[in-house]
Amino acid sequence: MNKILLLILLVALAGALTIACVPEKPVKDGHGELAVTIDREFTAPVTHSPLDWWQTRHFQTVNSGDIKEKDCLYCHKVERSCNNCHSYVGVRKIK
Amino acid sequence: MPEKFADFPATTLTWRKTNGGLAIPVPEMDEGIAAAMVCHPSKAKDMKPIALPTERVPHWQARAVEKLRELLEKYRGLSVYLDICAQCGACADKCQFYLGTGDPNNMPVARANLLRKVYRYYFKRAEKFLGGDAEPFNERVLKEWYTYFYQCSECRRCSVFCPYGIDTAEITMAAREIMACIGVATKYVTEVVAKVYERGNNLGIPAPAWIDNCQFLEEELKTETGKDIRMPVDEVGADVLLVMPSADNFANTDTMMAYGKLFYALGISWTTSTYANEGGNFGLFLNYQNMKKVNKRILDAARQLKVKRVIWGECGHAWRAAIYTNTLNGPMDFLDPPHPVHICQFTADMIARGAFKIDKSANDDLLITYHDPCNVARAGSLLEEPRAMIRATCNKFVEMPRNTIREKTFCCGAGGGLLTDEIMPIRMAGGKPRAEACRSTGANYLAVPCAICKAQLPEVMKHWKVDARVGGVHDLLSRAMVL
Amino acid sequence: MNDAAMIWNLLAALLIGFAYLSAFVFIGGLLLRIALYLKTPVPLKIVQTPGPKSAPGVVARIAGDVLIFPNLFQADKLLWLGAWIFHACLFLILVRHTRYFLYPVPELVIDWQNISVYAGFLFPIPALYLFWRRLASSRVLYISGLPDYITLILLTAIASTGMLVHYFARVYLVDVKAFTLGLVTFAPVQPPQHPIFIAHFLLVCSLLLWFPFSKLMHAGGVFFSPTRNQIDNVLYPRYVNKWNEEVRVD
Repeated sequence: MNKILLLILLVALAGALTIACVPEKPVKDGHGELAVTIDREFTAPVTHSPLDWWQTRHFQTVNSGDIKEKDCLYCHKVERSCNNCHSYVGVRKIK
Repeated sequence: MPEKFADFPATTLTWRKTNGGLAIPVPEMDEGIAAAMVCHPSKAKDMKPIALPTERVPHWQARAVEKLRELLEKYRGLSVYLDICAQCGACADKCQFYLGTGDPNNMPVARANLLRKVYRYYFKRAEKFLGGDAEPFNERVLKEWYTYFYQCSECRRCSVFCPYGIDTAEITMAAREIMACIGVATKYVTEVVAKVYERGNNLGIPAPAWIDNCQFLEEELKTETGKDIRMPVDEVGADVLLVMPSADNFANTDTMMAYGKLFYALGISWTTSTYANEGGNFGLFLNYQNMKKVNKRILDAARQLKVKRVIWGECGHAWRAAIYTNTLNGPMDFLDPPHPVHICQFTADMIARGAFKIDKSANDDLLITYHDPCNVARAGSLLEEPRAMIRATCNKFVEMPRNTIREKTFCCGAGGGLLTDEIMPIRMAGGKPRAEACRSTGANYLAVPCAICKAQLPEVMKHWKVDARVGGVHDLLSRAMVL
Repeated sequence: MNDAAMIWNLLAALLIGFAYLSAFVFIGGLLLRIALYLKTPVPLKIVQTPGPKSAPGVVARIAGDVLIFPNLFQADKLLWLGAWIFHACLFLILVRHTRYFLYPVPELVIDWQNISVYAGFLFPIPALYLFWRRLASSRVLYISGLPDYITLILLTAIASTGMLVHYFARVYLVDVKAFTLGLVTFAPVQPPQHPIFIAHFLLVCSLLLWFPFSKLMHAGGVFFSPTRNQIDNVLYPRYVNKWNEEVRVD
């Protein structure tokens, strides 16, 4: 029984340590280190609306119709407005 | 065919061979068809000497559950196997008793489930809560156990096909041990163990008769070979104590004479013991204590006779227990290593060293095939030695289909304490796959290094009308040896 | 705060509580079972013939059992194929799911993005085959109990809801990740308000709760099967049974 308590303690400790390393989730115009920002002063295209639909679904639209990946990169900088999110959820990075 | 055999599906078609394997027809399931085939119950006079209750103990249900708890704490195998079976059914059509009878409780997984449902009821309530089959240990379950755990020959063929290697034999052994501790066992097994304690061997041959038989065999050998080949008994200071199945002294005398010729040719002094003239360990079918006690006699005899080595004869259950001798009764370091030794290992080694003059043509009238006894091959790892012996002594050797030999061998149908006449239909049903495999080779001599097989297989061959004689592996050496 | 928000907060709290409970039961139950197996002695060395003669041989045998199910292959080729695809899909899906619990996400998990999605789509086929087989073969039908069906249904339901939230009724992954990462770092946040995701999550928790008490334990127990995990050297050196001395025979 002692061993099991020790194990639980270790798990909790590991958890507490990871808290320190985990960043805030990426949010558009947010504050954390992963915050999503758009540099250029363009208005968002109509395809991006509503925003939460676009955030959830854009992978099914990009590269499967008129919009190509490179088109995104006119406004989006890969590090600050693509890959911070992509690496957070573990999907393919944009090159 | 006697009427009582008519209960089981008896296809008359010859089983086909398909690219090296045997196409084994799986019978339709027929629930309860083997339920009536029950061994005779033990008698009080036999239970007493083997330290088991002479009648059903009071509070037997609670006692059985207590015993199950004890076994779960003592055997990791049991505990793991009861937990992890995924009920995939891969083993379902692998047991000769299912293939022979079609009774679903003879599918290894269903057999194990008979114990598993009791385990679930008392020890794994979560699974019971979600609709898992669970039942308290009651009269009905006990009857099922007594029927079907004594229709398992503990041969472990199913284990070879289980993705986790679940050993149904261990589950059967546990169930039998639980039954034994509440006073439920079969007449055949308990009688045999009691005889060992009384007379030293399973057949109950008294010492004078043993000596008589040995003298008779010496005379036979004299007539046959013209040499003075000895069959020593109780000789202190011999090099080797040979522990054979007592049936060799009495029924399979060709094998016994072969041992005599073998040691004569090698010039090694040997002896048998009237205290321990039995290798076959029937304690294996009851509980750990009796297994240990039966085995202990052999090492005691070795000490009394001051031998250098103990060699186990052509016997399956003897070898299954023998490989545990060091654990059960050891350390065995008063003997010369390696130990323990099986006679087939010993002889194959001697043949390899060129110790005998062999005329293979003496066996040319025979087309030989080899039956791997479950306990010698699957439990005892002797796959190559007997084959090497046959190849060295015979010109005509043919293997049975590959899915019926070596570690996938079928049991003869009477191991594990089933060699008793009241369940003859089960024995014949269980022997069928072996009979068909033998038929498919066309062999006329079935070599087998096991006394149970030697008693069972002739009846099986007769019943399924396969024209093959059954005999020992050493018998072949004996025929081919030039003295 | 309005009523709907309060109810939602309550539900979220319950969900988080249930998640911790099931994770605790899963890990605790698994460890207890394994501790029990380890504590229980192996009195006699019973190894499946032909057995490995060395420790690396044992490792290879167990690795084989876990990866390619050789015994099952000998027993039943079709069942082997079904079971192998079933487990391979499960494995790929599980590996891919580690991305919800790790930060940064390992490269391998990112690279397996496509193959894991295929596995997700393929999974129902072997699952349905295994389910169908339980009903279609009289022998397997005879041995199948309610837990066998429940386990298959549960896994299929988890896979289907998973594919739904991945493709057809997508959930916003950033919210999912924030939620799961919150759980593993003991700093829980609100789950995404997405009914199918909640269902998926609840089903997974139920599976975890069920795991240590069911036949799913074969995933842990396969490493402890005495016929498979021992060196085949029963004759030498002497194998010692701890409780042998307790059994008196004189």
